[in-house]
Amino acid sequence: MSYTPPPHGFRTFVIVWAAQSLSVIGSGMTGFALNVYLAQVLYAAPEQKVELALAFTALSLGFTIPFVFGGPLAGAYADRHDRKQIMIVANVANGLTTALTLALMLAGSLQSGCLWSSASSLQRRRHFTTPLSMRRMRCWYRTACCPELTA
Amino acid sequence: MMQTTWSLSGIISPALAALIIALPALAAQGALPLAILAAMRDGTPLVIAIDALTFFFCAAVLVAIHVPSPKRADIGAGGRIEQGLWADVREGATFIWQRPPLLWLLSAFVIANMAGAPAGVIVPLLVKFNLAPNGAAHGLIFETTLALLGVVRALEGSLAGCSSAPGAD
Repeated sequence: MSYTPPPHGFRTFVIVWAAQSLSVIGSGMTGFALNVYLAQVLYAAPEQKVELALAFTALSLGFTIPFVFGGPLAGAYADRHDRKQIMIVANVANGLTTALTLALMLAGSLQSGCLWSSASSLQRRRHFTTPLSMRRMRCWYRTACCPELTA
Repeated sequence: MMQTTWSLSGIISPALAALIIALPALAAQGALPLAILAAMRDGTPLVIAIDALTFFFCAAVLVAIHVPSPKRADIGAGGRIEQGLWADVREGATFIWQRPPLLWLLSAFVIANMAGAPAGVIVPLLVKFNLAPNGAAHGLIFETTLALLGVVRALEGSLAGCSSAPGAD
């Protein structure tokens, strides 16, 4: 069975990649800003060293845990449903979560628990926009290491 | 290309975020003619707002274009996928488990991540409680020092990747 690539496939990929790149840079900026917020606003006093360390750890876990445990499941889910819809929903959900984080920050109600939720949510979006499903990894492996299987 | 973006983000994001966080202070000093910025304590909310906008921008771009979803080969007569979601996950895991090179590669990533991840927690603490006096002596505030370290770490990773690429030597 021969594979026919979709028309304008690479152009579509470049457009999605460029837009996602902006979002990735934005998320990187937020990660930095949240560290600054924790260290300079929420736990600014020197005697809050332990609380600050715990908050950094919680934030780091918030970024890591969903990625590790949700990744394989999200990849399999993305293989079964409309990828465009999944990416749109994931981006809108994250836009709303980030907007909620902003609102809480402006209201002075942003605590480390909310930051943890926000970080987890950002990672959930990454599952659906990063090509890391096990099934896709299998395709990648076949193409990269066993080209005779793909031919 | 996405890997390049992640690497670039490590270099660009901290520097850009530190600049945006400093904008209200610059406006308060009169360096920027923006009164609305001068009223802000710092630019952290600006950074979060920009991030939210990038998500909505991404969604808008996706609405405007056609993204093909490849059809799976194992679709049954009723248009349903015969294999369950968990079976898909299990199939992928089994595939990796049965291929030692892939398993070793993943194990290497696990070890590298476990070794590198604590830096995300330790570096900000070091900057705040240990490097602050030295940074201040050089005219660096917390945000600048943290951004500098973040950029240097990302550059170091990218350069190491380039130097170990095939044909680099």
